[in-house]
Amino acid sequence: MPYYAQINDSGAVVGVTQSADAINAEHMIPIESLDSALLGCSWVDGQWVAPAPVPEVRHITVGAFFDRFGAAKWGILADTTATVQAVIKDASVRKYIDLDNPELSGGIALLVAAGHDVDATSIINAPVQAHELP
Amino acid sequence: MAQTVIDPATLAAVAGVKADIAAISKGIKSVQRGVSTGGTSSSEAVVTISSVNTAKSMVTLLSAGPSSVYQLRLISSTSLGIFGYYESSGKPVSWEVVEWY
Repeated sequence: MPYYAQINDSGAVVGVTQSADAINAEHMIPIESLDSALLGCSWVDGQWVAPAPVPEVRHITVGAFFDRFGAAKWGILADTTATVQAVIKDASVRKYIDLDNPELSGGIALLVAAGHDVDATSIINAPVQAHELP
Repeated sequence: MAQTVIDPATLAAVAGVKADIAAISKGIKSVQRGVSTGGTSSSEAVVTISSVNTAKSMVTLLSAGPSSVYQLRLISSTSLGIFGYYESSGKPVSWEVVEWY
């Protein structure tokens, strides 16, 4: 029985099929087995190309963001200076914190400049935990 | 000697049943299987298959992920359609088309 990979208009595999008879169609590429690992691959110049990895979305809740400050969290939240309050408000009005937002390090730097002992690198780069997800 | 008369409609019905039994006894003509990325609730994924008699064929969902809600149908003799709902939207689904004689 013949096997085929079905490709879409972009050339990406949207299905693999073990058919009863031959299928003569441009979007049906003959393959050797019912290999579902081909799903998402692209047929380029007669070769299969794996899909580009999907970039990880690193969003955490606002609460989880403040928790990342550890013991310094309370001092920051209680800080009434204008700059620190601006950072807190900017974070608080958001639905989530995007750890890959390029402005985030600048905001944390303002907290450090205000005298708060926080490690911007670990706050931004620590892996996202399940309980931190929005 | 008494003669039993059977009306034509009954004879035709018996003939039809006889033909159905004969067809069933021939069994399965073809089986096609595949794994395809399903559609969404508003966009049907169309899968190409080799030609079958839709009046004598059936499409079956073989496997899918948890909390799956799919709708499969034979669109034509050479294609089947897959809708995926809720968490099933756009996820791979395993299917089978069986055709009888």
